[in-house]
Amino acid sequence: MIDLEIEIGRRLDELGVRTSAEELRELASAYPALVAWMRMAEELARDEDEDLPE
Amino acid sequence: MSLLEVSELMRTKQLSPVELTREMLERIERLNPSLGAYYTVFADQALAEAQAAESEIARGAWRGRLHGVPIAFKDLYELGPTTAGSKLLADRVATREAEVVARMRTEGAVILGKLATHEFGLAAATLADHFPPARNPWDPERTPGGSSTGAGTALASGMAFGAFGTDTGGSVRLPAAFSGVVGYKPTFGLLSTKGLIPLSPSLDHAGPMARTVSDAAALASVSFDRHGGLRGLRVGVPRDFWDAGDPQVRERVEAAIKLLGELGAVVEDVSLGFSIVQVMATGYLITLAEAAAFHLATLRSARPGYGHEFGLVLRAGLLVPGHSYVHAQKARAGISLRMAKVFESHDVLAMPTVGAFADPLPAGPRPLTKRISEQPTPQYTWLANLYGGPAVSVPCGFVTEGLPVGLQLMGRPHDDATVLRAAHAYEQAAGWRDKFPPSWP
Repeated sequence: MIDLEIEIGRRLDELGVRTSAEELRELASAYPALVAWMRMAEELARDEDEDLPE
Repeated sequence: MSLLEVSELMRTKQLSPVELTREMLERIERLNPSLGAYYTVFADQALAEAQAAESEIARGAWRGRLHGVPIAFKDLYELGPTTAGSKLLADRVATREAEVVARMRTEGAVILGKLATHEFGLAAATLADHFPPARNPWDPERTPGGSSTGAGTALASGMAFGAFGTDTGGSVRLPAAFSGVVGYKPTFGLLSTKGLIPLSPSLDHAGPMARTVSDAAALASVSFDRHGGLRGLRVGVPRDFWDAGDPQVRERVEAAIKLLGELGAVVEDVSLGFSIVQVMATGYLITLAEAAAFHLATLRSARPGYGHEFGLVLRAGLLVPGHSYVHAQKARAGISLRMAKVFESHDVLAMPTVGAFADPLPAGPRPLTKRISEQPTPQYTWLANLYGGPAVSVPCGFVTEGLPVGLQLMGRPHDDATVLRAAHAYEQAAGWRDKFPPSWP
C-alpha cells in the first residue's frame, strides 16, 4: 500500500497537484476499485471487429 | 396545490402572484432555518417580479403557464450569488445568467432564490460542510438525496412550486426519489446547459423538479398527452439490471409495475446485456476524468476551499488514464446502441430510481471508498445519462421507515412525451402525490 501511495503521489506531483499524506492513503484505498472500473469499461468497450489482425 | 393549479388560478385572477410569493417567502423564513433548502433568498426581487406579473396579468398580458409562479434554481446555475456549494466560491457573484434562467424570466416566473447542492454537483453533503446541508422533510436527520438537495427539500416542504436542478448521473432524479417529488431529466440537449457550472460536460443535463409530472413538463416546455393513458404501451422491465438494492425498494417498484399493467400497459421482461456496476463504472470514469480536467488549473494553484471528498474525487479523476477515458466513451456508445435496439420493441423501461432510500446525513466526509467501489449503492439513473434519453422519477410509495421510494421510467431519445405520459398516468392512478411530510401546512 505504501508503494501505491508513493506512486500515486508521484503521478499527481507530475501534474503539479499537491496531495497530503492522508489524501494519498485514501486514494490508495480506493485505487483498486478505480482500476476495476477501468477494466469493466474496457470489457464493455471491446469490439472484436476492431482487434489488431493476427 | 400544484404549479399548474396555481397557474390557472392566477390566469383567471382568482389568486394574486404577490400574495402567493409572499406566502412562499413566509414559509421559507419559517422552514428554511431547520431544513436548509435555500442558500440565498431573493425576497425583495421576488416580490417585485410578482408585482410585475400581477400587473401584466391584470391588463390581460398573460405570458403563459409559468407567469407569476414561484420557482428556484440549484446553486450551479449562474444567477446572482453562485457558489456550487463550495467554500472555494463562497463569496462569488455571477456576472451573467444561465440560459434556462433567462428563459424563465421571459416566461414571467418569479425567482425565489438559490438552492443547496452537493459540492460542484458531486461530493455528498455532510453536517461538517461549509454550507449546512439541506435536510429531508420526511426525516430531517436524513439526506434529501443529491446532488440537487435543496430542490428536493424545497419542493417536498412547499417552499417552491418548481425548481431546476442539474443531472450528470442522477442528480435530479435521486433527490426526487428520496424526497417524494418528481424529477425529470430531459433528452440530452433539450434544455441548455449554458451558464451551468459544469461537472462532466458530456453527461451534464439541466432538469426540472416539481410536485407533479405535469408541472415538471411545464417547466421544460414539453407537451404530452395527459389523457393518453397506458393502453398498449410496451413497458420493458430489465429485472436482471436492477436485482441489487434494498428489498423494500424493489417491492414498491414491483407494485408500481403491476399497476402499470393494470392500467393497460403491456409489461414484459427485457435483458439489457450489461450490469448496473458496468454502467456506473462507465459513467463515473467519464465524470471523474472530465471534472478533473475542468478543475486541474485550480487544483494546481492550491487555492484553498475544495471540500475533502471533492478534492479526493478530482485527484482520482487525474488517475484515470487517457485510454480508460476512451474505453469508457466507447462503452457508452455500445450502451447507446444496445438501448436503441431495446427501444425498437419497447416504448418505456421501468426500474427503481435508486436501490436505496434516504440515509442519515453523515457527520463528516465519507471515505473515498464509499464513492469509488466495486459494490456501489445502485443508482439506476446513470443509464439515461449515458445514452441520453429522457427519464422521470415519480413517487411510488414508502418504506416502513416512512421514507419515499421512486419509480424511474426511461424512454428513447427525443421521445420525452411518451415517458411523461406514462409517468403521469401512473401518478394519477397511484395517488402518492396526496401524501405530505410533517412540515407541510
